[in-house]
Amino acid sequence: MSTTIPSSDNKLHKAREVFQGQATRALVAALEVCARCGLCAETCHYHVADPKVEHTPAYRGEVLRRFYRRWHDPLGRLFPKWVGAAALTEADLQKLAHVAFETCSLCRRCALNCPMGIDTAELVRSLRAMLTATGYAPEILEQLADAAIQREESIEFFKESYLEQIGGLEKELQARTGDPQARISVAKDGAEILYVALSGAHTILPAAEIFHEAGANWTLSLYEASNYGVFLSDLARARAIAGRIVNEARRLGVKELVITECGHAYATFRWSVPDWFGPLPFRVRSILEVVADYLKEGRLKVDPRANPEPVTYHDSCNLARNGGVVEEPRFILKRVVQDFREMTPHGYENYCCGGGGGLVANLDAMEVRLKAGWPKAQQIQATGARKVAVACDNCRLQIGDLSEHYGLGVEATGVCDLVCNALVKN
Amino acid sequence: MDTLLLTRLFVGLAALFCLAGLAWRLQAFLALPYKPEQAPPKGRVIPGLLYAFTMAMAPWSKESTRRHLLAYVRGILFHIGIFTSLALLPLSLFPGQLGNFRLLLAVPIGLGALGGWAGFGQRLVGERERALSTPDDFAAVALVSLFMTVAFATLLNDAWLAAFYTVSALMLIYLPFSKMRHFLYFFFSRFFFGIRYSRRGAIGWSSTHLEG
Repeated sequence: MSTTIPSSDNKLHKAREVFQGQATRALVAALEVCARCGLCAETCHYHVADPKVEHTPAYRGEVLRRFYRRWHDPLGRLFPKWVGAAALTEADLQKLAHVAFETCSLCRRCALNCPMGIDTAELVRSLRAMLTATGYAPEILEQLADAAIQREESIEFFKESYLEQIGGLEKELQARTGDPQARISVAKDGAEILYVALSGAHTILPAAEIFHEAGANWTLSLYEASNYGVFLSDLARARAIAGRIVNEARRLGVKELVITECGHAYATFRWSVPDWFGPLPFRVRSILEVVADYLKEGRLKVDPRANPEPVTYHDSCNLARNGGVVEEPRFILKRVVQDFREMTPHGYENYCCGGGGGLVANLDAMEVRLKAGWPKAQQIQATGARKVAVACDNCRLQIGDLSEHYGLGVEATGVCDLVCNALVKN
Repeated sequence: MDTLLLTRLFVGLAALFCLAGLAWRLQAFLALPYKPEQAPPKGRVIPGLLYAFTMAMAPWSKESTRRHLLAYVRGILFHIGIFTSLALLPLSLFPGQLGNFRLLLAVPIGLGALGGWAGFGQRLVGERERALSTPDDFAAVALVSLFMTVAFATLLNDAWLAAFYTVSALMLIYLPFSKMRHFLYFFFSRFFFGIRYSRRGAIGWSSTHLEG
């Protein structure tokens, strides 16, 4: 599913059309209410790392407001320079791609700190939608999104090799649990939980071990949770990618869809998917919420002495600020590690690691994201931790890169990995 | 017709024009779609919304205002001054009856004016603020600060009444076109902020705590 790129003449018209389609009350309120007070500046990790005006959330908003004023404001049409209005040009679209895809990770730390409550991430998403529709999105994001859609369209082709790989992982699970009957079923009818992983054993095996220990009735999805359509702000792609999993869950009649340790996938399924497909006939939770419940219910026995090194926790923006999952990882970590240390700030006020919004996948943005990750590197260093527990794969990759780049000497590890280390097996 | 009567007529017509302009803006805004989230909430929505409109705006609630307490106080004084000055418009029709009430009004208006001019200066000299600002931003804060300055002068001496009405009228005519209109969207913006984050249990009174 590639976007048809309009001709040069039509690109500007298309961009405006896409913007109009996005113009809800929430978006227009965010465009109109800004006082340009600049209080948002230091709340942004980009600005903390590199204090340029271009790294101010208000600036990112102004980038879109210029055109909005030209399109919708009488003074913007009559006296554009007076109100900072400008006509959109193709050269603008090229520059905007850098702003929208490389200098904002959609973390929304600014939104929590804005006196008006402006959701700058929504403004940047709107820009991304305009740029994707006119052919200015990073190619790699489009390739990843299209690959996911192609997989669903050719599922029978992929299924056989996938099942073979899962068979290999099943043997590993049996070795880890000491139970030759341990299974990783795929898209099994009658399961209560459909667990959606990412492509990678590190998101399948730990969860499989946990489900096995807890005696859960679960099955693994055929598809992976990540959704590059969301990073592109391309609703058609995002729906197509998420729709495969929604249909699978409906077909299997599961009670619960459990998302692996992935920030944007959780936020997408938990908060956006019901808007796209209507109320869902199953619950959506993060694996962290499920594991916290298992611990509360006594379905998992753990010994924190298995994780003696000091561990800190990085709140993934999409899980915490945008997802509402803050207490559950802490409930888990306080029970599975001996020395848990909080970063400052943490929770809803955490700093983004710099890897969100598709930045980790975009090789052109590597230098920018490593620089923007400096505040997070400082936070990690201040804790003295040897391990950083992370419940988002993009954050895990970014923190690994930050550790190498800034010489932090820390290991980024999944929360489920720490749980598995600490499991006292039946 | 005497000058005072003319200026009163001017500000009256300007107020009607302003209201018509704001009504036009509001109806255009309300014609836009509102798409509430369909996902079941995690947090407590009504307490969260109440928090968004009250304690979420306290200076200690946000890192940005904790860092910039002076700017926060200046902004509060500025806006209290604006509303008090607007209240003075109808009250000024009965100058002889203001009595000691003048002092009560003069304090917030005077502080508001000072805050406004300080903000104008900050916007002029601050590199970041200057880069973010449009000419309209400067004009809006200057006009509003002038409005409060003349309001303050009027409370000291009724001879300033005509000037007060003239400046008020110019401000009210300009308001629907300028950045000043942002107040119209403020409550909607706080609502969207509050509903989003209270549904996630991410702000103040909206959170539901996990035991243990």
